[in-house]
Amino acid sequence: MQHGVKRTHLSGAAAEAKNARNRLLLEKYVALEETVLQKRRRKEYTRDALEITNELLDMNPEYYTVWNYRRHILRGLFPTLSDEKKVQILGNEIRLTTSYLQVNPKVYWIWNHRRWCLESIPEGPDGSEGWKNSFWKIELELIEQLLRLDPRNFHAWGYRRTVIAGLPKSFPGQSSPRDEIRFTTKKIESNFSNFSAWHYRIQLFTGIWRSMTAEAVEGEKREEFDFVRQALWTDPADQSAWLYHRWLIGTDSDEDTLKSEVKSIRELHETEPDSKWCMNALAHYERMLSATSSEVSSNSCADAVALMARLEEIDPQRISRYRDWVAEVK
Amino acid sequence: MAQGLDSDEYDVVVLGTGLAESIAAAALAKAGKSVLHLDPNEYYGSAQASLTLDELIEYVKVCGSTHPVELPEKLEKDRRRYALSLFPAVLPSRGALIETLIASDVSKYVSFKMLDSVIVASSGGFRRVPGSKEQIFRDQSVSLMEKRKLMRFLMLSAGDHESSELIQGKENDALLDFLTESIKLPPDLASTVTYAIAHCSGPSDPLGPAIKRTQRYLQSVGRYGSGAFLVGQYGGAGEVAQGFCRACAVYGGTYVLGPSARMTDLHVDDKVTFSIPCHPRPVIAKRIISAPDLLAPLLKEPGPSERVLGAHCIAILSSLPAALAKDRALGEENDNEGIEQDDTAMIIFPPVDGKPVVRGLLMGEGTGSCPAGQYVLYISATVTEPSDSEELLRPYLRRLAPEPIFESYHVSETAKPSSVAGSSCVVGLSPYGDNQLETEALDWEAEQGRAAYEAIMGTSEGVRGFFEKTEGETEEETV
Repeated sequence: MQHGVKRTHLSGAAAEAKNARNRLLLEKYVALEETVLQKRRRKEYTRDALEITNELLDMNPEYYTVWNYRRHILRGLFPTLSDEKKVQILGNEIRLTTSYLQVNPKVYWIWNHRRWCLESIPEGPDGSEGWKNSFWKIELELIEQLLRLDPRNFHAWGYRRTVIAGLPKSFPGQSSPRDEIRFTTKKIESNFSNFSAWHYRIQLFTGIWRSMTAEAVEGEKREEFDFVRQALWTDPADQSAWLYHRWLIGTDSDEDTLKSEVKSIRELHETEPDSKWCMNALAHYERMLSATSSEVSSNSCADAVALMARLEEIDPQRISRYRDWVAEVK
Repeated sequence: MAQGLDSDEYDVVVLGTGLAESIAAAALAKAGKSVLHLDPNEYYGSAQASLTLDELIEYVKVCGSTHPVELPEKLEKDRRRYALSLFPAVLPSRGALIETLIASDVSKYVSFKMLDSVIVASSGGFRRVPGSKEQIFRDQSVSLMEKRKLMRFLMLSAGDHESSELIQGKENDALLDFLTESIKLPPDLASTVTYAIAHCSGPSDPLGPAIKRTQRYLQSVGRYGSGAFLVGQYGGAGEVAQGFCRACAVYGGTYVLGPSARMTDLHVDDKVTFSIPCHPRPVIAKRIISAPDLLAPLLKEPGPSERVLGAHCIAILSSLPAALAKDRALGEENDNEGIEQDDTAMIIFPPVDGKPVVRGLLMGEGTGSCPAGQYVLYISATVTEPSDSEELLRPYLRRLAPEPIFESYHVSETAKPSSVAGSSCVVGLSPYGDNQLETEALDWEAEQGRAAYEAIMGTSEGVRGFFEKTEGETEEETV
């Protein structure tokens, strides 16, 4: 399904012809399904069974039972096959999922099957990682392509993490966490309304900062605040940037950081008095501020509560949520 | 020796192979009309033609330019590898021409690429134009508050601005004033928006039309890439016109170019009769389509007196203008890949010191309009009086490229839209006569082509629509 493509309306003879075609297809599908499930019940793990699952998946690639069955068949066949043969079969499986993904890039079961194939590649040939390397090369090209076509497909992002994490040690194009951060930068710059990209960035920095000094981390955090601030000011209605900001603040931000962020967000609130996420963030941070320092405590609290009142007005569907929040504060 | 046409009679004769004419001819041929398409020039395209370097030099001479130019020796052997456009324009990704290209399938004869950048001359030099949300996000020279205000204006333009309180009553106010007073943009940014996003021509250009244009461009952003405009390969408009001529021929249209197409003894009453050198007898057509410049002299009528004058410079450069070079300082680096420099760009010089707005279009080797390593640079301005185009445009060329390897100057005269001789057989086309040729004229030509088609076919029930697909061509419905 694509956004914005209108369904064309058929009438008369064309509609009848289409209905007749669909009836035939349905009959074919039901018969095929019955055959496949029968074989599965009988635990037929043969080449023929594999072929038949192909036919059924062509008609319905979202049928996860059939994907499971397919893996059972392969597991049944593998012990008798050489490594070369296994690699050849896995190659076919990957190609099959590729053709399905072009049409259905968001089906969990297709991604799972592909992941399983990657995990099943044997070592070799001859003690090298040659087979793995050639498969991984294809994987990297696939995720590049898919993320180019739809940078917001979280399946593709998740798969990218799998692929990068599983890169064979001898693979020539290693991608470090820093390289991956640069990748997310590129995607965010081309459209920052992309929760998956920001989310991946969070995971990458979390990993990197674990092994850095507190000072170095502070420096990078400041740069990240500058980066996300551009997004907040360009489009305060975009939730993903606010979520990233919330993560940056975290639960233990020092008073100075909180104060300067609150100042900046307050300025934004003054230019965009109706921006919901802006007010939510501001209230949350004011509340955190009030907990850190008694001198600002009562002011921050009052500000936060006032914001909640305003939120009730512009977002009446969530009145209870805002009132609960106020009750907690008090 | 006149070989003769296949017939003495045609449904429609089209005069001139400009873009509007060619679109109309192709649409009519597809709808089953017999079309005779004539052009007194030896080349396709008329006012939208693309010429080789030697053809351009000849054209400039014939134009009566006060600055005839010779073919530089160094460029002699490559002279045919240039496709130089007399109509330098970009194509909005959403608009009449692109829709016509898609509906007619002529898109398969022509190719386009995204316009890489838009830059605007400003006080400190040149700056890239932050014309979309993404560009605004990345622009490090724009402050946070300015980003917010810019976005506010873009969102206002993109949305239902007609009912906006901020705009109501102000449609005739100057856009520039609106930007400084209501949106509160600083002067430099207001100028950038006025001239390089809304493509106004002067400080008093009214808000209403400017916002409508901005909305159109914003709707074009992202359709095929991150910009709003496409650039035609191999000389742009001329290629597109040729593409439609090809389609017309495929649908049965007849083509004659050059001296054997030059009409004489044209009479228009309840039909159109004329003689042409390539045919032994007078030719009869039910209707004639033409722009005023070609038709008026044949009918021995005074042409439209109102003309739009354009000053044009066509230059060839051996390197990318410094103003467009991307370097690390601008923060446009891409660590793993090399820096990809622009191949095409639009350059806007806002009006200053009584001079008009001047617009430039750079086309690099990727467009196929020049040999590798070179660029074609077009610089144009609409002027109100006949003026010395070299005197006006040379300083602008020098500002971008101090040492071009070739430069030529000429003036174009286009009849301002007006009604042509009031016979029902004549379908008159109006050339684009406003001030935004670079971004608006291609769609204008497509709309003219369509209007001519509908004037001949009518628009009642059951009449074949403009490039409407027949039953055999409609694709099967798929879900």
